Amino acid sequence: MSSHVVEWVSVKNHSALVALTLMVVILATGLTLPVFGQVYKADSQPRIIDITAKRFEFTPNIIHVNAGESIIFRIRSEDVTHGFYIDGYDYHLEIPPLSTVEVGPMQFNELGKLKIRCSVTCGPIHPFMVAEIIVEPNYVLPVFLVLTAGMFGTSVAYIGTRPKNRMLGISTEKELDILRIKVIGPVLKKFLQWRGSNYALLWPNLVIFMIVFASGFVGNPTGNLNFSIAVVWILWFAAVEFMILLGARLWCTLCPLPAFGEWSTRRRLYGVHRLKKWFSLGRKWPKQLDNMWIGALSFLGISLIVPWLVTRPIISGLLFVGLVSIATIMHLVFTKRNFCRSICPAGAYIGYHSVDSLFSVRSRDKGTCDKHIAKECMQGSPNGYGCPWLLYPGGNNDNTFCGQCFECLKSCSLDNMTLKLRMIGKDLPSIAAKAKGKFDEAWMGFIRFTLAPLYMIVFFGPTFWIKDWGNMSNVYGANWPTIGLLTPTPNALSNWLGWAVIVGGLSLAVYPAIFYGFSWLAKQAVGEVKQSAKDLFLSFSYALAPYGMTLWVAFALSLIMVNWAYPLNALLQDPFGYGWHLAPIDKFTWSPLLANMLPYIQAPVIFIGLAFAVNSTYNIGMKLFEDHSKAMKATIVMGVLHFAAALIVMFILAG
Amino acid sequence: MRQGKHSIFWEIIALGTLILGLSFLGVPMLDAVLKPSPPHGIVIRLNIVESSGFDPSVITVKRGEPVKIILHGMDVSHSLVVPDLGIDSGPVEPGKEKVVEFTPDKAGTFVFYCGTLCSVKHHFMRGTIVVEE
Amino acid sequence: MSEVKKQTELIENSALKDIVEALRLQYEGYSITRDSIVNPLTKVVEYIYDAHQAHLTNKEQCSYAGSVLVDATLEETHRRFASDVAKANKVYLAGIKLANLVWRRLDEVTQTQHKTPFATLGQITDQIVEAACRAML
Repeated sequence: MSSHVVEWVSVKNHSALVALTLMVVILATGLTLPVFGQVYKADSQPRIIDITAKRFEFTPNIIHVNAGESIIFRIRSEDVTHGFYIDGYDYHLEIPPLSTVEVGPMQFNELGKLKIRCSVTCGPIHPFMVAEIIVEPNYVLPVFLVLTAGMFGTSVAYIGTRPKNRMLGISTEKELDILRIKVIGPVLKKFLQWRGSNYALLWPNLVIFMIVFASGFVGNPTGNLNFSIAVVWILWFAAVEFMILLGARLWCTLCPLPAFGEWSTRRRLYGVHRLKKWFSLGRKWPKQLDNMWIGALSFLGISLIVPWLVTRPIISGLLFVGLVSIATIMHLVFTKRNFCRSICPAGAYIGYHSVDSLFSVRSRDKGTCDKHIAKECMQGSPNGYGCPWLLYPGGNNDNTFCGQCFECLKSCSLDNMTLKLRMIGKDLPSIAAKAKGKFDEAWMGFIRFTLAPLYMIVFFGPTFWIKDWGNMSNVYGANWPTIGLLTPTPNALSNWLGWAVIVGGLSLAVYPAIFYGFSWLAKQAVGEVKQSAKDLFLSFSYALAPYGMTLWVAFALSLIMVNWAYPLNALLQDPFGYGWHLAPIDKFTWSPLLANMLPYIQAPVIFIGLAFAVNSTYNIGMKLFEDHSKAMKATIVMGVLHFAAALIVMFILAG
Repeated sequence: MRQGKHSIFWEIIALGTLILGLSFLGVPMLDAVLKPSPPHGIVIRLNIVESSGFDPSVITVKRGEPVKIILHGMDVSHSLVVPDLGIDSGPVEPGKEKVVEFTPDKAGTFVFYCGTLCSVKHHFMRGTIVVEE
Repeated sequence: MSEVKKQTELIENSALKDIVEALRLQYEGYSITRDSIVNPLTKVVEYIYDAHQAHLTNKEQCSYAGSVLVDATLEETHRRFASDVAKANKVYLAGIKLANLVWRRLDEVTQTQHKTPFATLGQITDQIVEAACRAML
């Protein structure tokens, strides 16, 4: 094992080692930044800051204080009861309706920005009712900007040392056969080759989905007290980002949405139907739709209603009922997983980022698969179905559409399929080099990459109007009986159109246009190559797969670390928000975990993403041009764009 | 019918667990069993008037017998005020509970209402408590 | 007389030769019993009979029947996986040939309709299995 590790990470080049070490120093600096504090002499007279709280905003929403200054907050609620919580301070203040509460005098010794959050459920958007305290002088922003520049510089310096087939010092050629690891391997293999493994893995999620349906329709109308919101949009949404990183499409293994359709077409829950005959019309899915377009656009479509989706149980309930219905009907018409490949919004983005996962399902030896005439991984055998995702698993080199159902592990009679652990970005260059005409995946990348910082602003930023536009100024939670409360006013609808133009415009047009501009510049910088600017645009867009993933990991961190109590209470105590006490323990109190540390955890995650983006661009460039200096030039041009994006995120985190 | 490689036994087991799984759809129906009601207690869920207000909004108690009311906040902070009986629960936070205990000493029908501004229609959030002889 | 002639034709049939050769390879190092020949071949014939009755397509089903044979022979030797590709391919192709043979016979029978297909199935199975056993044991 240890010799393996040495082989994977050995860096022979000294300057590369220096660059990598500097990167680690930058990450460590980001993480340890909050250790430093600042203290100024307190003024004798405390300053009073008046804050008005109303659903779902604090006014003023950005409060500048001087370090060490003595502050009294005087908070008035204009409508219902609100809470007042400052990250890292143990106040859980309650502000009754139409009354004023004072807190302080208090002093802030932090380096940068703190968030004020509402701590008493005040309505559907309550978890995202946020204001900011900026402690002046704000040292964090310039330090973050310098660190970002440092990260960009060291990344470029690192690729300047001509790392071949490496991602930040780790080989992208080496793979670890998980099923051959001592002890774990054989047990895992036995389990995955057991026919009941899929069903066993899926069953708990089936139960969870039933509760999601029930709570979406008849549970508590307030989102954060309802299972369908708290568990799906806080816990699941955050968990999926980590699942992609560690397990690629692991969620698709566990997902119950298409299961009803699949079981119907197979007429089996457990075994393989003896006769190779499907309960399905067996139509062919149109070839021009066999791509990521519908999935990408449906993900964007969901983002257009996201302020409602993640706060109103009934919207989630209806969405899931709709998805299950479509998936089932599609199975009965097209037999296989065309829903998951082409329609499912989650399937699209999980698949897009999965190419950068540490995990993959691959054949041990492709030669064996090529020689094997039966191709049981495609046509199926009495032990397992042929690939439901319509791949040739034996020769597969791309995680995008591998749903990890492990049927090929079961059907292969040569024991040639396995699970492999590898470095992020292994398949990326070859996939990117073949990107001709794959606009669908490029736009999936743009949508995901643009929406991550946008979500950071919308959900955890202080700007109220954008939340309000997306939310159509609605203050009601809703389940099935109260769905009428969601009827929007004409004014709210026109605001929502504004929101839709912002979200859709940025992700579909503005960012892709900028990206194309940089691709054109890269083409000019590289000089004579056979690829056109459009080819470079499509190929280099794949660098957004790892980069976008890290942005979403950063977002997921803030989602789960701040709101962990809501899903836990829904899971363990009170799924429907009815006041049940299922577990014999106290309900968890909402109290963010290390919330004052969040920017210092998120920033290094994004630094890593930037380094991934630069290194991926270089690897893609090497694959395209097979020339170091050309790849280097293209990387620097594209890198500037990635660097700029990181700077913008730093402004969101600390500015 | 000829048996396949995998016996029908496991298929039936799986079908059983599937039905068990699907039955979780009916968990909300267990509300009557699972809601925390102490002996001689009444649970009132507090909703804004736009959804369902006090749920239930009419409660019946007996004069001279101790009453325990559990208030459960559903959406925003509410409270329960019965001026005629001198009861004020104080604000009940959503997702939390508050217990009000009292012994009604006079019979009759009394109005209770929400004492914490909760929505535009807050002033319509009312209910009735009937104290029987 | 005609019965014997038919059997001789079958033995000369390349399909049967392939099956015998493939099974010999597959069972190398394992003892060959009557069961280990009868069971896999019967499974293939039964499978094709069912597929034919269900009016499925020849090509897809015969190809799958090859996998049925591979799996059944592995089961006879209590293995989960085949040892190498060459052997697995031989067995697979033999299975396809056998399936095609049976399919054609079933086609003939259903077209002429002078016998019930199920009785024919028994006859076909008997002929093929007996011939294979005679060649191998």
